[in-house]
Amino acid sequence: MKRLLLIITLLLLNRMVFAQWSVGAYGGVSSTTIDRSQAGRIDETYSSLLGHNFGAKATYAVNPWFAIRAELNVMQRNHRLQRHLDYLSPVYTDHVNTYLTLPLMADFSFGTERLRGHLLLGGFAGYWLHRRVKGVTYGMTDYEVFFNDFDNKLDFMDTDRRFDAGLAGGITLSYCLSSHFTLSLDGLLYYDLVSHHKGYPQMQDYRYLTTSTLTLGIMYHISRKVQQ
Amino acid sequence: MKKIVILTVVTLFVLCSCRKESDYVPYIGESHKLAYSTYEEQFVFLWKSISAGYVFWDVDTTDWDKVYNRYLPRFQELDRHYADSGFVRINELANLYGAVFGQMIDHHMMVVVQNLHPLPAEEGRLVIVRPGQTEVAGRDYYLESNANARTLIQSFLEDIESEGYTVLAHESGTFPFYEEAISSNVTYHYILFQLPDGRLVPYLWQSMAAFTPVIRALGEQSLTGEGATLLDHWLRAITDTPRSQLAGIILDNRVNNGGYQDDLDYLIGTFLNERAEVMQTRYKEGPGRQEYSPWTPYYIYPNSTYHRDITVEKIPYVILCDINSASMGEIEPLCAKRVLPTVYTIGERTYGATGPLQPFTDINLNYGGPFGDGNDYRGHYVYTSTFEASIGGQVLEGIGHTPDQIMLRKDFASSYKPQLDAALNYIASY
Repeated sequence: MKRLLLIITLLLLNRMVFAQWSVGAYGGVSSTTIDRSQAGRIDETYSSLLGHNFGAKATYAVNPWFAIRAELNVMQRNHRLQRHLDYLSPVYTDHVNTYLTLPLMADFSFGTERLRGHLLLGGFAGYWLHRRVKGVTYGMTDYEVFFNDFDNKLDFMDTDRRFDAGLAGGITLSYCLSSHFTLSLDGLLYYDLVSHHKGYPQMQDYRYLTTSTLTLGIMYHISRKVQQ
Repeated sequence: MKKIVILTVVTLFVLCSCRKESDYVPYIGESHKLAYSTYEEQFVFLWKSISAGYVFWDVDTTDWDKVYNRYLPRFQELDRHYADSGFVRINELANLYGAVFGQMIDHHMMVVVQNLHPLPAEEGRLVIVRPGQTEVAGRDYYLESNANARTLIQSFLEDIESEGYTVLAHESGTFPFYEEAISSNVTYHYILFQLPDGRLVPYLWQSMAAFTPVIRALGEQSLTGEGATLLDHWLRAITDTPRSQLAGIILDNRVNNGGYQDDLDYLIGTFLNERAEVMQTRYKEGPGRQEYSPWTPYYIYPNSTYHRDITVEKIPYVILCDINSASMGEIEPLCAKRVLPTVYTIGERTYGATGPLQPFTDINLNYGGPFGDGNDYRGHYVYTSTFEASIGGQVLEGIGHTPDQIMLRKDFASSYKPQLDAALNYIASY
């Protein structure tokens, strides 16, 4: 047993020689689509809407081509419901959803010391922090339709599932500015595997979000890279 | 490295397929689904349609999932019964649907269901469930004579002078009106009462809320035009009588079972100087039970033809209502109370059908509203509210309007006179 512990310790120490920690921050835009197979039963369509995405990230480089990357970000996952019935065409609802998201991804990299490409693959967990709706709604009299602007915070309901999880991945282009700083451009995809609508025991109605983000970030290398 | 990357990518692609497909959720406009092979199928379709399209899930306490679990086996039993005997009695089906829908608070609701396998003697008979009517009939101030209320109040009004009132003018009649898909009749009594002190009280009884389509015919040489003239006389008596001569106004909505929302433009708009929010409405924006549009304010604007500022002039406006005042018949006093300080209501707590309906518009209007075959009743027809209304921040479906002065007909030998006496006394002493 002692021999096994010694071997594991030596292996970890060996890894530590190559490992380096980097931390950083980033910000950019998100674009989200909703997948709900029961949408469009009248005439409505759902489309993507832009939002913002900012957060902090940390990477732990295990070796020159492989690292573990974790992030904590605030991400808007917005989408639009648009009506198309001729006399209701001004009607739309923008769903503005804010999530706290924790992605954890494997970071496979390739390229030169200065300019590297990264393939990121992993998953994320999230929590739905806030929801808001804004847009144009309608009312009717016997003879006319009238419209009204709205912008409301929405309370969460029993049927809302605020915990979220799914797959995360994407590509990154990083440019080493100095021995301590690297600039990175990330394109990531967040793919829900958990429906944010709980549905009903006798009638399931799943709704999933898929979000693409494009962010620009800067990383600070805490420990200098050690040659193997 | 290559193997690790490939393995990771493959794993993620496999996980991508983990999203689940939703169950079939009918939307409420899907009226083509009218043929069923089993009672179970019929029940499940109606259950799902109501789950997705009913507009009162935020205030209705019916446990709809429990209803499914409890009654699905009963409908399956009916299918077995049919397989054994070749028929299902209408009463058995009616009892089941009565239990399924009987507790729902939508007081406009009427569920009509075709019996798939009737006895030959029961061929053509339909199951009809009206939960609102059932609830109203159970109220302690409900009278058996309510079933005959329209005839009774008309008889009372026709002999109004023999009841001891001083009547300076009395016009009445039944008038047809035609709109796109509606062809109906409305009865009016316009009476100009004179109080003992000589002042006047213009009074109008309307059998339903059809003010707008009738008054639009003003000037036409038609029976509808005559009805419009009658309404014009009531409004002109209100707007043109000098303040010293005008004691107050009475709108009698007893037995008025609803009609046109635009009537508020006359019955409230006439007395406004600027637009006023009388209620808010919202609709089902998706199939989730709580998936609503935001609330939309409903404004009434000053009427462009008739105007009198009864608030500034402190003219009392009494609205009579009773247990048979339904839909617009009760929305009118509810909304008038919101924006006109001199409105005073007398009578009984009203029916409780406050959700606006749009039965003749596009079925794609939203996820709620009437659905099925409303003409021939093949399969099913469900008449249910298209919108939910909130008046003064409250959804009053199933509750209705509680008058300022409650006077129950049951306390006065079913007479319509004491409530009218109270209205005139209130105005006389205002």
